[in-house]
Amino acid sequence: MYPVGSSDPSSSSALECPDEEELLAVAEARAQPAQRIYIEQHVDRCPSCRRLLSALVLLGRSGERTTPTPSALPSALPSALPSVLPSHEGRHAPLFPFATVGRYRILRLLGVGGMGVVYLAEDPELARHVAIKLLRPDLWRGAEAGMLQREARAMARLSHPNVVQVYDAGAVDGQLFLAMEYVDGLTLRGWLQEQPRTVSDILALAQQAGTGLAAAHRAGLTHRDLKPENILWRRSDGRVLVSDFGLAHTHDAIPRDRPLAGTPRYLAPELRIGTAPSPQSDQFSFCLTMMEALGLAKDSPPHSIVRALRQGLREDPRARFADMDSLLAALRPSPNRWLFRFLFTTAIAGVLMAGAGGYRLALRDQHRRCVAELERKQFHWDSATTDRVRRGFLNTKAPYAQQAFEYADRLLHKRNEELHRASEQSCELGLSAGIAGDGARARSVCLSRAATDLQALVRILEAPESIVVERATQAVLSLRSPLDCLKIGPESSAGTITNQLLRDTLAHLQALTNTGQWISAEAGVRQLVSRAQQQKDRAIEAEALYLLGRLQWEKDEFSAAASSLWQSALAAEASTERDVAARAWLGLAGLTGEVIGDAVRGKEYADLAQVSVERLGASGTRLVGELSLLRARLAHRSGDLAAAEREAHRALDTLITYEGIDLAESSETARLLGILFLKQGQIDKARQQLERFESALLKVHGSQHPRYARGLLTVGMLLHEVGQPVLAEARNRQAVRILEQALPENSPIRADAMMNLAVSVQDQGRLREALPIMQRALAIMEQVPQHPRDDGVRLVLINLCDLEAQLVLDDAALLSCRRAVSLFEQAGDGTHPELAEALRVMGVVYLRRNQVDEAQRVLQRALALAEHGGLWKANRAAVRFALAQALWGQKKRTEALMLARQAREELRGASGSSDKLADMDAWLSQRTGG
Amino acid sequence: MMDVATPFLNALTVASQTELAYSAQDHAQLNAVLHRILQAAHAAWPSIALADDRFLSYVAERVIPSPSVIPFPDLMQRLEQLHTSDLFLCCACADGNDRAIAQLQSTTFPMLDRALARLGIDPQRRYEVLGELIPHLFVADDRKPRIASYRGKGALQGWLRAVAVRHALASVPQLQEDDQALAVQPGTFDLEAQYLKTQYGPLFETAFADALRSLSVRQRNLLRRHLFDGLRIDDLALIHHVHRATVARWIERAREDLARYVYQQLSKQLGLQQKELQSLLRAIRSHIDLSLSKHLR
Repeated sequence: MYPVGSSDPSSSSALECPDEEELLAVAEARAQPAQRIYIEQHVDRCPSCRRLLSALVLLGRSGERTTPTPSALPSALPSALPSVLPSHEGRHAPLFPFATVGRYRILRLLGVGGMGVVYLAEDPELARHVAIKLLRPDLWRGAEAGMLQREARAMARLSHPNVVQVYDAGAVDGQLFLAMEYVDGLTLRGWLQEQPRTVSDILALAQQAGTGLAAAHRAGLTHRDLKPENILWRRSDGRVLVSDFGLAHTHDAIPRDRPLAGTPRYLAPELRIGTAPSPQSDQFSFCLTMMEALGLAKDSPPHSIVRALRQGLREDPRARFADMDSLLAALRPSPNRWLFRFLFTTAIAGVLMAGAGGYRLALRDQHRRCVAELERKQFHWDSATTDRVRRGFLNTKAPYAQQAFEYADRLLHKRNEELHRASEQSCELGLSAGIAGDGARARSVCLSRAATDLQALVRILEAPESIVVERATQAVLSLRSPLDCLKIGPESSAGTITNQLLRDTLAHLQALTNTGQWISAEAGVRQLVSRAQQQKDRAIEAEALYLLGRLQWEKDEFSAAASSLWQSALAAEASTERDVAARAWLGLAGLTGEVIGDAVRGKEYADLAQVSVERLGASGTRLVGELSLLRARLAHRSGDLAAAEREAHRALDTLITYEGIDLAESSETARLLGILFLKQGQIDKARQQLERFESALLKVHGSQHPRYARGLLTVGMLLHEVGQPVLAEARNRQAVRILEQALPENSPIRADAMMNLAVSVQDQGRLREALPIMQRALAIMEQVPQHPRDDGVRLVLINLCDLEAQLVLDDAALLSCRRAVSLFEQAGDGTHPELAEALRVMGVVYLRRNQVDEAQRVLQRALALAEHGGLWKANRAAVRFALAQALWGQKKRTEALMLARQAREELRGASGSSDKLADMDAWLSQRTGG
Repeated sequence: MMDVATPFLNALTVASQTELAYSAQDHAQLNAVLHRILQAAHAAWPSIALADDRFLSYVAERVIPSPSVIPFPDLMQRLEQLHTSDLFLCCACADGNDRAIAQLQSTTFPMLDRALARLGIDPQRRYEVLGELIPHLFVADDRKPRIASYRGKGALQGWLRAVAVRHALASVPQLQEDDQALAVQPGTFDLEAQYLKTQYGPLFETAFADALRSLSVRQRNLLRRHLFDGLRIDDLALIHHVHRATVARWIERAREDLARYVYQQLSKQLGLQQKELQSLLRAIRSHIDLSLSKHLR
């Protein structure tokens, strides 16, 4: 029995709460009646037990039910055992404390980290508080444990005001522990979050922390795991202390699983490939930590500081500062010194350039420096990086990870080569032009951005979540090719010179957004917008607003998104960032014209986008393709299928030249084109196009990728339309299987797949079998968080309604249809083409019930929508025919016969409709007597 | 085969405070079952050393719920249903065996973390809860460590999950008093309740509290669970072993009773015109209908 009453004032303390086994029995519906009644009585008075019970029911409902009790011991027991406690890697488990550790008495938990658990404890002998860190035994074993103890003793000898003092190290019952100075305050991370800090606050903190680190280096100690969590700020006097020296475990077993340990992101690159830790690797971690901290500052740091930090972040340890002291000197703000240095180097350059005879030499040297300068842009797709990314991908356990890696690898390799080639050529161009004109500057800025963007993406790919793996290919493709930079004309201006720190932040956020990590990106993007506005950096502002618009769009906040994109476009125009301007107008056009459904404004924005794209000239090829795709979509939305097809063709052609045939054929553009063929009744072309789409997806993404499943579904839909439901069912089933493996339960596409499967089963007349599948699709869709739930739900409802109507479950059908219709109306989508289908089914049901007036009303509305171009030919004919029947019932006979004949004509053009055609003929001949 | 049944029965006698009647054949059968239990437990946890007699007396203390007499066949049946290998691990943990504690954590904590995550508890809080759970489970304070109260009736995973959830809920900042919150929970009265509450203040609150008291235990729990804890009709049907339609009817009835009671109380005390009250009741009812359709879809 577990006395919970004490924590809950509303229940009497004399009341004993039922123990967990009893509550669990009720939650899992295996309790005896008497037990149930007792528990009902109890939870009526004890809210905390009721909440517990409800929580257990909720947990039980969504799957993770406990293993059922084996009923027959002799045979069942041994085999049932392993499943009772499935073996897990168990890295999440915090370590357990003892009531006392050595002579220290544990008071309370301070925190749980990757290395172990930290407790506040009391040292009774010295009557002071200490922090006790219990280290995870799975990381420290045998010889390593001994080494750690030796190191801890060395650390205990180090005493410095900026280093957390280690008092004691030892082992109790095989568990290693450290007793350290207790610092009552915040970690650097917490300190930065508490309130916005200024650059000079942060630099002062960096000096203190760096001094501590330098002292340790002088004593021959390296930190190995410096990060914001290990830099502590004491509240009482503001002193900064570095903690946890030497605790990092560079062994491969450093947990990569997110929650506890986090990824070793502050680790210097050389440590990732197994080089021994050094003061230089600490320097790297220190600089990365400070760089990030400065990124969160209220103001922006002087260029000199950024330059110093960047030197500390050089990939080659020898290129960093000789020691912490030199780094700290460079981080001390003293503007005069930097000014002096600038004048000094300019003077030297002047001397070098003065001798006319040395011109050729200088030219060659200049070329070499130019290339070196551009190549230094920190993007390297070398074997070590490739390897890290591969491991990161495979670690996600996504079934398609290997394939996704291979394709991303190929693309990044290509981009890498392009970058180097472009750098080389850009320098040659610049030299042949004699002086570095604006065009050359613009190219160099463009290349440097391309490198930054690629590098930011690679950093994310190194420690990816599964969503990243799914989107890796798309994320690489969404970045422009470095070769585009070469196409920038000589007249182009370089764009605004922006703060490199902001540019790096932007690249990171953009990479997050492109890899689908929208939630992680959003706060940063908002912050970046306001930073850019404060610093009046319109170029960054434009880019950040563009990202913000995309994120808001993802969340279905359409008007907010439109406003962000509008502002982005304006900021881009103001800063002559043509590429951003073009993208922002494109986005705005798509959002307004296709999503919000304002065709006129959509078209206007598309024209603005076109102007921006044209201004980009040859360097905007990729956007020319996107513009065509946009126009295709807008035309599709407004029912002009021929124009849509024309534009889609053009978009696809651009893509083929830009990305090659496989990527083009597997793109959304290819899919849209296929669907346009289909909607216009060009079945063979549609089939060819979509089957190419499917096989290109297979080639690019492999057979386990959700995108391939999407291809299967599209072809399944085509097969459905052309009356081959057996083939369609096979495709849909395969898609459902892939998606179940690859995506979480509440992914909208899983509901789509389920729905399509139900439709293909339904098509074969297995109505009863289709019904539960369709209901399952609805259930999944209803679980989809926010966007695009309502759109999905109404679509499933339409199909469900149709199915129920076919099963003559008329009440249910009307209910489903009405729900669908009201969802359309709530969304202000009263003219949506899909609405016609819901209305058609309602009409058919009303007809069956002889409610001809209701039938006539809804069918009239359906026909108006259908003629607008929304429905497949066959369905349009069906609407006409149903309306004809309704009108006949209302004794409007001439009109009825006319409509029925129209329907018959229309249906002749569509395939797989001989049954329906026969129905119509029969109906007509009955009524015309011939 | 070594006789492990006798020490087991001795421990059982101490725990149940009664002698059990059994035949020699029973004794042999029990011995065989206990041997299988031991074999299975050692196979499940090969690296954990625990003396057989210690483990079997631990089982004996838990196989019978409280000091009571049960017939021998019942004992055998209970033994067969017991999750004995889970008990083996718990026994070792309760005895302070480091390795067992580490094993238990590594096999179950990731699952606990997921369960807490599904209840919407944020990562920082989850790790605190899991961290606090450790001393709670394994460190004996004045009595036995908490892990010792697992009796093996259900799987250990489920039990641990319940303990963790209880711990997490208890340490969540105290929620508003449930029933007061229920009065304005969307779905009870919707807007009307909020309107009544602001309009008639304490009068309404008293009326509502009285109304709630006038309901049956089942009705009260149904409303709280459905509206407050987020349980769906299907969940409630599961707990109550009835059809979902029955649960739906019960809830409808509970709401109707609640509305009528509030109406009666208010009409008595406010002396509103008959017409005003009628429209009020209609408004309340229509909102109840609306919210019903919302929740029952």
